[in-house]
Amino acid sequence: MNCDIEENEVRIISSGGKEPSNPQKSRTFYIMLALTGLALLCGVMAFIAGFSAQQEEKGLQLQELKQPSALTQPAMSDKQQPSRAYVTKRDTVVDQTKLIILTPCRATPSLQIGNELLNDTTVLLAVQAAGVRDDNGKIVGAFVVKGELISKGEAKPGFCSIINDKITIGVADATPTFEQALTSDGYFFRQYPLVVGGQPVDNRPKGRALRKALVEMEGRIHVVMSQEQLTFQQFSEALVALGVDNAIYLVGADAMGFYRDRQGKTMVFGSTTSLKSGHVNFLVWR
Amino acid sequence: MSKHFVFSSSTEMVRVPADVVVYIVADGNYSAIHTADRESFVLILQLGQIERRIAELLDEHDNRFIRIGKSLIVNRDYIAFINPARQKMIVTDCRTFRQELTASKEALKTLKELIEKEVQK
Repeated sequence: MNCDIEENEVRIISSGGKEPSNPQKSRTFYIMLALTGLALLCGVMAFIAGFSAQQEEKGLQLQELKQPSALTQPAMSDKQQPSRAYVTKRDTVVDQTKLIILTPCRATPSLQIGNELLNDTTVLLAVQAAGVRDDNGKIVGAFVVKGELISKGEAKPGFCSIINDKITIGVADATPTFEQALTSDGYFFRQYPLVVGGQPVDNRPKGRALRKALVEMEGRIHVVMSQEQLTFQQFSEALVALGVDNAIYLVGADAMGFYRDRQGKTMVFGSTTSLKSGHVNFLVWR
Repeated sequence: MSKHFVFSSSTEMVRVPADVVVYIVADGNYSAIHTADRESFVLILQLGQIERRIAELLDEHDNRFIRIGKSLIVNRDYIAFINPARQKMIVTDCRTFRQELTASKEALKTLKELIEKEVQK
């Protein structure tokens, strides 16, 4: 069976291998096709001219960012550079919940404040980490960058520390990894815990939104994103069903982030309106 | 015995009687199977893969399922209304559910003509 099909085509599915019962393509069809092509071309040009931050209200959308060739990271095979870091992307469905799993490989994690990441071709994956307060724009909870304390407070019991390039995810009001981050040029931030020891955590926020999480699964660190709006509870349960051991929340909804795939394409998700705060902060892999 | 569609992945299996599948809609790398009890199942399969699977499972003379454009497969037994100009199609069992679907004008016009021709036979 030829599975290529045009938008205007209709085809009976049968094991007899019947070809479509389509009438002859009319002149109208070709005119419509030409107009559609022209509209698509205009859309692509508008997209190249300026990346717009419209986020669909319901589903997560990944959009390829067109960059000037000088900023594009060329795709290189592993044979050319065997130790090169990269990010893999996997779509999956668990308990009828659509998820995307991004896995950084051979990449170095860190935290970074500010929104000048898109043009940094050394960044392979960037997701917003700690929340930012609406009233004063400050980072919620303790936040440490290269050993420097940027923000104080517990706020949320979940934490992520990066000590000597190793990520640890946990839940604790007080954790020695906070002091270690301060004394060893490490990184630290706080967020809602979602999964602890393979069990979902009950969280207070009850609304539905696109969700993201930093997860530890089978000894590796991944970023998991929901493709549809979920409550915290639904997201936590989906992560447990996925086989996650520990997970903390990452800023969700329309929080902008991106990853670069092995072909060198930059795939962006979220909205640039999420970058307004001067304290927008990212968990970054290079 | 009623035929079943079975779709398996590494994490899940979906098995539904063909009779109750009303329509299947594509959503990027996923497809959603909508059944007559107003429920749906999401699969990590593209619509083309689902179409191939359906073709494998159906009898030679079973022509209920129709692929419409790139995004939709519909069970014609549930089609009750087609209006190509308004790009509107309604699927229903005329008892418990009713769902409005959209497709291109040309595709719906073709579908309408197809069904009308078969009724006239």
